[in-house]
Amino acid sequence: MLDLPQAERQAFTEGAAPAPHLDLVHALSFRAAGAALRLGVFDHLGDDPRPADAVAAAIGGDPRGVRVLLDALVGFGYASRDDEGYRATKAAAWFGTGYRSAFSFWHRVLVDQWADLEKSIVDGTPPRDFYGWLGANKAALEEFQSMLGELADAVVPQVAGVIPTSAKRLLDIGGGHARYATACCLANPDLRADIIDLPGSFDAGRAHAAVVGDRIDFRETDWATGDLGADYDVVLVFNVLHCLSPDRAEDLLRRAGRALRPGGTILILEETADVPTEAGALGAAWVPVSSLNLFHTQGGQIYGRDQFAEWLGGAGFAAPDETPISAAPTFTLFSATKETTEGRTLNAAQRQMLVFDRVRPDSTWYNVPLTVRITGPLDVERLRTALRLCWQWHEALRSTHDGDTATLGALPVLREVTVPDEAALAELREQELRTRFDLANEPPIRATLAKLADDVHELVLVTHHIATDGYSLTVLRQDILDWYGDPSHSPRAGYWPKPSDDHEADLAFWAEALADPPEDMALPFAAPADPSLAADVVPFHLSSDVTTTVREIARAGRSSPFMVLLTAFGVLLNRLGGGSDMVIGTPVAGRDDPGSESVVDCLVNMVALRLRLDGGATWAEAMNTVRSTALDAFDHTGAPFSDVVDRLIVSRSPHAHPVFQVAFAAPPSVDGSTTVDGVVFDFVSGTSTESLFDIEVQVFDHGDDMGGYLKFRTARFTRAQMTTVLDQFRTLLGGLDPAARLSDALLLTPQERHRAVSDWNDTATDYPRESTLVELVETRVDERPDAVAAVYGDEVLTYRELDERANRLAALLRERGIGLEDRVGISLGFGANWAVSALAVLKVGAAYVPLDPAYPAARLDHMCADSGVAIIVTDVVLQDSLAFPADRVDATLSPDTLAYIMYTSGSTGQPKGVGVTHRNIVRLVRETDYVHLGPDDAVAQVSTLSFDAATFELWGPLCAGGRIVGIPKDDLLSPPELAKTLRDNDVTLMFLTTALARRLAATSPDAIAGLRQLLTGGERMDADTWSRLRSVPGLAVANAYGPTETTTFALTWAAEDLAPGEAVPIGRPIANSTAYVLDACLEPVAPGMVGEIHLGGDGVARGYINRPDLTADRFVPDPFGAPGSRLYRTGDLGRYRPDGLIEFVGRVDRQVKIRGFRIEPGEVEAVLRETGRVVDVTVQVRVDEELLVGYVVPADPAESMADLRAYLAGLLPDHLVPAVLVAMSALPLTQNGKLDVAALPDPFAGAPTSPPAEPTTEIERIVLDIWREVLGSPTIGLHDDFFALGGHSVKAGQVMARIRAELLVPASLRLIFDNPTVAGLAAVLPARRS
Amino acid sequence: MDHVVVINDEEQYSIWPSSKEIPAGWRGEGTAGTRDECLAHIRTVWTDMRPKSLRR
Repeated sequence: MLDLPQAERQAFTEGAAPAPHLDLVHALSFRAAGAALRLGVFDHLGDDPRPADAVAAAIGGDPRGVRVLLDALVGFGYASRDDEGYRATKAAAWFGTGYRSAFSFWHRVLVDQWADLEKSIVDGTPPRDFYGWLGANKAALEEFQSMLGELADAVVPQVAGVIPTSAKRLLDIGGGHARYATACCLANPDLRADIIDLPGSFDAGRAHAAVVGDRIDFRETDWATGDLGADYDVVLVFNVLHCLSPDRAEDLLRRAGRALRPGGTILILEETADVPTEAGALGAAWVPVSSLNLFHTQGGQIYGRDQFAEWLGGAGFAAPDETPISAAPTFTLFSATKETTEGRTLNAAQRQMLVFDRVRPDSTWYNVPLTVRITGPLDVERLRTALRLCWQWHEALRSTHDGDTATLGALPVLREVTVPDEAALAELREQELRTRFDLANEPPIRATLAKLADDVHELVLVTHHIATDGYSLTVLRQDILDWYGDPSHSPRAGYWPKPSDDHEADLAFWAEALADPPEDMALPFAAPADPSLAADVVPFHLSSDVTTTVREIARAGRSSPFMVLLTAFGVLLNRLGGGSDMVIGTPVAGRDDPGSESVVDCLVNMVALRLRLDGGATWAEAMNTVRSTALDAFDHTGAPFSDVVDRLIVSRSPHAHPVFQVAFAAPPSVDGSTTVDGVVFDFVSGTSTESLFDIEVQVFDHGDDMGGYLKFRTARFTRAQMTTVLDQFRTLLGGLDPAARLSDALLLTPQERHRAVSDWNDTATDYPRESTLVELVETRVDERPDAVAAVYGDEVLTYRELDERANRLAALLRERGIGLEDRVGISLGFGANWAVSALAVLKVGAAYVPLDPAYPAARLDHMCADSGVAIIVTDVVLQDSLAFPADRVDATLSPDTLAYIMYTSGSTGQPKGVGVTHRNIVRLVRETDYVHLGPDDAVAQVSTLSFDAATFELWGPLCAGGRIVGIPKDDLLSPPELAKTLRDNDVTLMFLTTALARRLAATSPDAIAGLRQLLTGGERMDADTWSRLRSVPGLAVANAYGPTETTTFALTWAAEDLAPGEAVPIGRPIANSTAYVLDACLEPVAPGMVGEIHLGGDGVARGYINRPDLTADRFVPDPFGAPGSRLYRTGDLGRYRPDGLIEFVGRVDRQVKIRGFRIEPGEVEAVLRETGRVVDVTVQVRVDEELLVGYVVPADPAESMADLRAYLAGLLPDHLVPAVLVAMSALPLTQNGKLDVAALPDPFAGAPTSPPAEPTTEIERIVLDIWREVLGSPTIGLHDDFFALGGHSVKAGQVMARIRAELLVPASLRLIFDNPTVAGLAAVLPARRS
Repeated sequence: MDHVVVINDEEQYSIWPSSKEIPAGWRGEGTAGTRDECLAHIRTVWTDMRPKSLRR
């Protein structure tokens, strides 16, 4: 009897199997020895040989099982065997015994061939050395196969019984001994069988199969990876899955599934893990065989029945049936039927694409191009084969899509064409790229092989994103090359995605990460969202220096180049106005599962990275933030993006990508060339001509350097803008310094920055900077006292008269205690007394405050109280002043003394007073460049004193010794009167608001033909008006821009004609003024980008009277100007043109200009709220109609909107009173709880409330027609109110001009204000001139 | 972005991003905080808005 060492005995008893690897030997040994021990085999092994049958008889076991056990002990060294039988051996000298058993054979295999097997396991390649070795040891193999044969004999009766009698073709995978296939063929005379197995496996099988003649074919293939064929009725996968690692085993079942026709049957015979090994001790033979399997395998797995069921389900099979094998109780026969529809469930991204495909049926956004330039002796047939194998292998490429499933369809066909030249080829590429896929009926890939010359071809591939993604292209590339090089090449293991619906944790993460999301990113230089998806691409390159920098910074921050690049791009977007809370999308490959790296399919998922950037942070801090954001996101990629979107409450514009509008990606590059058999294949990837992303950046790492492209929607951006963005991206990356603050990062090169800061602001002139207006005007008085200073109709004042009257008033003011920095209101009608009064106020060192008598008393009261008006100059005061002496008063003024305070709309509900100094004004009118003012000039005075153009109109001529010519408003609105006044007075210069200039240009530009120069401004100038004004002979036209805070004009443009489509710029800073377009970090933006216009120089006002906080907020240190100087932040958005001219783009806030007036809708809202009569209110601007509409939720539902409007008119100047108030029960809100502007009703959309009354007289008919045309509404009735219909003063002017022209009657503008209905107006019109 | 209160030689007040270098001719006044905090401080201290050279 064999005396086992105590430790081994215990180990065998407890079945304590060691770990895998070479210990497999020991694992087997322990299991075999344990079984032998429990069966008492050791008791019957001694020095005398004993036949296996004798041992079996002695222990009462199955002889076959006992023989295998004894063989195992030989392998393990506890027994040796010769022809006489088994005997104990203490030395385990079995290596010298000649491998008399299969067991010892496999033991030897492991020892000798382990290196090759291990490599094959690691690499996933066939163990070729092992196969060779196998072929050289046929005797041992045969013996092993005979053992398997015995298993087959036990199973066959049951197998044959489950084969459907209708089956015609059977595939036996790994069935080298042919017993199963033979048995099946014997049971079914119509059946033909193919057997696939490793090389050298078939000798025993051929002999066995001979009984069924030629109905069995043998194929030598590595069935673990190779092509299995197609259209079988039955597939046998017998006793081989344990040879495979889990992914391979699953893969084999999928491929076996594909080899079956729909409805076919798969039969799997496997030992199952959940059968106790002691089953063998009960008399069955096959326990050791299962142990043997451990050897045979590359993975040594025994899988459970749940695992089989899952795999089969994933491979398209119905739930399997299980049949126990009575003769081999540790084995189970699984049978399953392949589902008849080959539907493959699509993932969420793919389903989303199908939705998009239905919503945008013309879109080709998802077309993915890949071209292969093929140079050299191309074997077209081999390429065809290679492509066909690709289509066959990658199911996604031959699927059609309907509903939520993909169904295998016909193989794509390679189209072969000959093209004459590169141009034709380019056209072909373009055509392919712009041709959409019919996903329901066509494969999602099109392939065209274009022949340019015998040795030059191009393979043009276009794939739909539903079947591919960035990673897939690298797979496709490799497979094309591999199969071209070797059509028998075995592809890498396949992979079938396992859709999972359990994303709850991930969804919760995203709901939190994207809670309270920022608005859709709207870069300020973007055009409004547009349905068009048309996109263009700008390629870019990052130098090797920049690439190295990026890599090093990534390494130092334990980050990735992607994260560094993303940080930089995020900072760039932030600086370009994208906000400090941004969401940027990035793709995640979804290739983590084993095997997924080798499949062509759309596995990509988008994740939304929320970047919150703080300008005070350093780059290192920002990159760390981005890094952790990205890593957190990458940990939660299980939830498909579309599910994330569904979970979030986001507004969904059909024209914008949900959640994020900018995507940034650094996918693997597919580009590059490879030579196969002397043929060069050069792969070039690309992108479609459409996009739903506003901006998409793809960066590819080429090794030494990086490059990629920026794709953008052409409806939103221009190519020049995107080129600039990329320039800045490179500049930013080139200057990356982890320790530097984000806000200090320069987006411009030093040269570009110098140009914007200095070259474009070189405006200093030698002007009387230290003089006051009083000195300048008195000098003119003294030079030419008898020259005319002001003409207002019949009233003409010489300089001496002007000076004397002003001196008298100054004396009166002085007597009333007015002195330096005091404030004096001026409330006078249009006339020369404006100039007299203003000059008088300045002479005593005070500042004037224009008080327009037309303003509501409440507003005037506020202005007086706010500015501290001590006295108001009225006609009465002027009359009183005549009693005072005409001598000049003495006062010590500084150029920094306040000259006037002008009130302008303030968003808080109260107007704010801008304090302007003498120097501010002198810089506007002296030695400047936008206008020439001399003693011979006559300047039209058309503006009211409370409009800051009056500053120019009064002080321009007075400081130059020229004339002021007053033009009454009625004249201004009547071109013939205007022309006459201008001509009669030889007016050389005039300022008109943009609206008036537009009207004049459209109707009667000749009226201003006598002017030398026209200045216009206040609103955006349009190209049409510009060209009409430019065409007036002899007239110089200047477009002027400037807020009150920098004293009337800051920039002007007087240049040439416009190019088609060119916007009218606001130009350059005027002399002694500066202008900058700055980003949020107060750095100049690049041409084409949008920033806030900042104005500097000597025009910058002192500030807002009594508003230190507001002043400090808007008047900020000027980092570019003289030390201690200030810049005014205009709140206007602008951009530089490449030539440095500035264009006005819009507002950062809601401020608008209507008819030249600055209007803060917030001010109107605040005043409405203060009435206490409204619960909620919003005031909206109708830009086209140039009017305000107030939407009001009244406190009293019965409130009359007409009454409320009338009440408002008592509080606000005319231009701030909404044309219409609309009563609402509540203001409409968006899902995010913000005002839903689009849902506000259009008060002008409906028909008038009363049916239109028809005219009864000819005059009424003409007037009504004019109204209908001017107001653009054909349904106006005789008794409708002009102003309730959206009319305003400009339109009123148009109506009256038309009435004058058509009825040939003198008609003052006032008539329509007093009689705002057609019937009323027609009744008061003067009689027609004869 | 946080700000600081700054003041120039004319004792005019303004605010400036704390992460940026203060421009020439200006100096920190000693207050830092959010934009609103800085402006609120200025509201209390800048009572005479005339340039220093004009005050008497």
